[in-house]
Amino acid sequence: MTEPFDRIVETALEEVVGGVAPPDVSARVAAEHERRLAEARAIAAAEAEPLARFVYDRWMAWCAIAATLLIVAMSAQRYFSPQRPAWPDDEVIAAIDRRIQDAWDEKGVQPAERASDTEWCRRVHLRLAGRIPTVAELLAFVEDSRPDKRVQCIDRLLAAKDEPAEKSTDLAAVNRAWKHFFGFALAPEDEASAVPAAHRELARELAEQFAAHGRRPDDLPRWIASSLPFGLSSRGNEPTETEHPLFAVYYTRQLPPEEVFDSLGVVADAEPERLLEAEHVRGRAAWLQELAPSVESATSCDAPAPPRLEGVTQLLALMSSPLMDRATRADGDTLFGRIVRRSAPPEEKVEQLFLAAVARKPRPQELDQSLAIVRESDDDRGLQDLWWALLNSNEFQLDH
Amino acid sequence: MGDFTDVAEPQLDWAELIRTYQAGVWRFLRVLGCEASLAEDLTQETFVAAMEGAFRHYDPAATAAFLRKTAANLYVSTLRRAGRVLPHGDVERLDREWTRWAGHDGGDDLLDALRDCLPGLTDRAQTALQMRFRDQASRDEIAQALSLSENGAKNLMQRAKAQLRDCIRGKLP
Repeated sequence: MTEPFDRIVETALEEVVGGVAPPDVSARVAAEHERRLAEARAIAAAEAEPLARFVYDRWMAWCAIAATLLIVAMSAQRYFSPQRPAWPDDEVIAAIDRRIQDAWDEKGVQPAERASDTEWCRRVHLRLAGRIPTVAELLAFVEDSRPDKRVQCIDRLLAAKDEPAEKSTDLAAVNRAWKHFFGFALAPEDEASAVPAAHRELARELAEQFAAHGRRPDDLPRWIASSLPFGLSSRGNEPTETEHPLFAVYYTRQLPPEEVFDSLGVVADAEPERLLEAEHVRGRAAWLQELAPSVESATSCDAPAPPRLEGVTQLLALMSSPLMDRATRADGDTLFGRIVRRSAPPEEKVEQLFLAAVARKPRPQELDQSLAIVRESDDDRGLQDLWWALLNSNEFQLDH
Repeated sequence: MGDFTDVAEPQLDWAELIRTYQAGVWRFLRVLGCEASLAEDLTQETFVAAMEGAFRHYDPAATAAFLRKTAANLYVSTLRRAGRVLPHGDVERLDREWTRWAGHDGGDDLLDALRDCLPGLTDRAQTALQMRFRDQASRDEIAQALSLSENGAKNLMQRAKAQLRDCIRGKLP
């Protein structure tokens, strides 16, 4: 083995004598280093891709979670804000009953009894259809044993309704609807101080729910017609000292003339669908105009108010109207004609006439008096007199 | 010279460091028996490895020792992959001797001393060394050129190397 120093000298000789000099590797080192750095960066980038994907996926997941939280927060804000979510119909109706009862409790008022099926049926037809029910409708309702027959009846009448919705504020819509059903607004703004707090709260809730349900025209009528106060009897008393109606009894009211006319149309033709026909509508307008000629000339500047025929005026107008004449004819295809021609005992015919006109059976005394009138003549004239009297009675022209 | 600004040690001037130490690394590899072209590759690889590793420059001797150690390891690995062993004994013995005579400057002074000592040889001895190290002539060719036997040529060159060794040792501190 060569001695170490000899090897060193030998190597030095190769360089000095042989000319094998050491190279300058600076450039090669720099180039190689740069190449390896680039390679390392490429590897790092390749290795970082899964990490970047992982982070991206997590980022998207967090975005989804954030969006969900935002939606939940917005929903919560909507719930707690004045724009409340829509309650189910049952809850809205229960709110009406509860608020109205609160006012009764506050004032110490005992409400009237629950209205009979016939009373309620006639009432709801007047409020939702603007006319009385036909005998067939009345009997079908009375004989209906379904527990939700009132809801069914309301839905049927709303489905047949053909009225454009009036545009107004939600609270005004509530007051207008309430007044249509009860004759008084629920919480009129000009009487705010007299309105029970429960009624104000109810009006606010109904307005919110009306908006929450999308301001559908049928909702307020459905809720109100299904409520406790609408189902109360009209036979009862409410303390007169209360400043604002408490709706503890159903307030009997004179029917507006258009409802009288349409109700007369029902007993004349017994086909409610015809009330929507153009011929009937034109006849109603002509009748109203003929019997209220002073309306147009009463004021020269203001728009004319709808004609109001009240009391004796309305009664006289009815008595002499062509529609009344048609309704009481026994020889035509009218309700009265069909009842008269029916082979049935007089008691049953009298009962049918009472149901058709005032949506109830005759009381015993009324039945006796009616049969006496019927039996005074050999033909149908007695029944015709009774029918005419019923149609011109206060009860026919009242919403009770 | 390349740009080394993005290496791990910004304050370290790698270009200067390479210029300073590359000859010593290459020469040490040659002392280990590494042929010239491989020594060039391994010298480059030695500095690249230092740049990529946790190298710190504390002082010239330590840096030179680190680089030699790195270069030797690379060479041994290369030999091992080729199924060979170091041709001139173990690394530590050679490194100790190198450190003794050439550690401080990578062999520059030693080569200067050699250049000074060569003229002190006889003409025949200088011719024999030139044929051996410059012309890669065989011992037989040298013997024929000098009208010597093969053993005579061998003895001539051994005596020349011994004279140079003594001369160099005499010139180096």
